[in-house]
Amino acid sequence: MRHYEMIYIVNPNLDAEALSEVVTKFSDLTKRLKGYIIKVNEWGKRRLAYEVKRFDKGYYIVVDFCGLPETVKELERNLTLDDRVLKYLTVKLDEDVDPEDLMRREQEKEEKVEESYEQALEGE
Amino acid sequence: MAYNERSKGVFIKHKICRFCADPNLKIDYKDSKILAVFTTERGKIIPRRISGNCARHQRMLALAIKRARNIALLPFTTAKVKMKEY
Repeated sequence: MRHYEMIYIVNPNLDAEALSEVVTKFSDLTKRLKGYIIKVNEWGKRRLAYEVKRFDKGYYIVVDFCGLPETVKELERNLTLDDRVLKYLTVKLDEDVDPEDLMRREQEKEEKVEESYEQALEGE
Repeated sequence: MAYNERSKGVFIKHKICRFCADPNLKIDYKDSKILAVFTTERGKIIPRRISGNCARHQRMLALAIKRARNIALLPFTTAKVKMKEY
């Protein structure tokens, strides 16, 4: 299975509810296409370097996932069909990875962050 | 010509590749702040002979800048500068 990273820009004028709906829609689709979501990172509203579909701002969402080449193909097809998505980019990070191993590592990383946060609180 | 003089002064020559010198400095297409340092005001990629990067890192940098342009983190060109000059 391949390790991918996908960024997509969503219409910035949508409200929080509609935004989360877009994210869950594509997350669910990824899972249905035999993909494994490792991490979803929302950058929030950012100014675009140039106008895209007459928008000068966009809501950036970065998804770290594992999947097959067919998964990406179908995902990208759906992203082009959705009017709320302005632009997208998929980058292959690695070939032949074990998605469960990556998920475990991501969890450990999060736990470490929590631990250091707790320690910082205790220190005070 | 005033423009020529200014364009010479814009770039500062670095003889050492900054990415080799600092292992903490990673080339990532998502990090537009670092990438912007290696582009001109117009959004062009600064050549190796001026930035001083090694061949390997320049290749990686060029790819990262192109990816960043694709997802609107960096401009392909800046229309505002064009308007002023012509």
